[in-house]
Amino acid sequence: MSAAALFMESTAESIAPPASLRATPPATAAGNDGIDSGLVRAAQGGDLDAFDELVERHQERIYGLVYHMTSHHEDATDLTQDVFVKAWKAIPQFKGDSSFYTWVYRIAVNHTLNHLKQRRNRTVHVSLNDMDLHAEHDPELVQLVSHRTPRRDAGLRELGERLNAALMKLSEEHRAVVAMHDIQDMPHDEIARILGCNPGTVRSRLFYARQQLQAHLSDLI
Amino acid sequence: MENTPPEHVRIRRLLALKAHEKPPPGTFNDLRRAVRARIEAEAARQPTAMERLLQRLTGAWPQWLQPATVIPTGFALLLVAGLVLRQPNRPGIPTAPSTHQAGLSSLFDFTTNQQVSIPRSLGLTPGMTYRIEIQTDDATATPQSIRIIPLGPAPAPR
Repeated sequence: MSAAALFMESTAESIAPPASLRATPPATAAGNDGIDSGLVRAAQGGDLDAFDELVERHQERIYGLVYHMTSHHEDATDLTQDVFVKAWKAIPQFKGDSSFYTWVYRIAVNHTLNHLKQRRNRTVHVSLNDMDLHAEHDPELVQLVSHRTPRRDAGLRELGERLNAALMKLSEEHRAVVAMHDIQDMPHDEIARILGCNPGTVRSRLFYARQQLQAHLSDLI
Repeated sequence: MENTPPEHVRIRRLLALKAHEKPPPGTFNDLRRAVRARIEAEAARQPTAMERLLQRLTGAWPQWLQPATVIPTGFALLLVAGLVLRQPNRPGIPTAPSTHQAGLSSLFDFTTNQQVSIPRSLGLTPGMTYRIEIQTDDATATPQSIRIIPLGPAPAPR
């Protein structure tokens, strides 16, 4: 049974995203912002331990964003490092007009877009590791495949590779919006703040991107 | 969400599965250590003479005069001024900045003619119109790249 067929068996109506790579609570919550503010102030004073804590708090989501934009784990690791090194250098100029989370996301998006534009002609290297343990409890996946079998694993790999390949056919800007909204479950307003555009632009990019994905993945939906 | 086409809902459900992908084991421990090591290595490195000069210059600038805006704008103005001064007949010389795009701090078109003296290394052809784009990083406000894009033959002088 192919990944496409496996997915077609899934009939759940809910589109609530699963809770794995987004297991980190959204850092936009007021409490998280408060903690970040204290750490940012300390980091602005040169406290590297405080900045280390900020890295710890945000690295998974930043890595996830970069990975979903590049479909490449090694690039995602390097680019995430670059993002935090850039953030450390620029943090004295951070005025707190937005949350640290929004600010560092903006650095990540811009840095990744620049990287992708410089390497536009590079061969797409899709990769999908095994799904994590949380995935086993996700109703979507439970419904998708009820037993762990080699055929199921192959189906998931195939599905992941198809998704990555389809995403890589989008423009970098559209892919960024899809990664933040459809994969990382960020609201339109937050994405708009990160990209420096209005929420309407985010919605229209999302619509266009899904149209494109629909064409590339028509046999899966 | 009520206006979302059903196909898009299914696309979103598919994409949501990607949130379950996980990086190679140990990625985040290594990443945190690597970030710290890079920061400490850079701090230990002696700044170059140029970096020290830039630090002194930027330290002397007023608060509102950010290098992020001054450097690309100044460079663009110098380039435009140089072209204007070297070209008395000036058919088709630089227009004012015509467009502003996200991530592009400066963007303008200019036309060369036979009188213009331009460094050969730029590879510009007389009689052509070019666009200069200076790309900056929005978040850190540092210039990233400068591109000179040929737009086509210059319009005939009036």
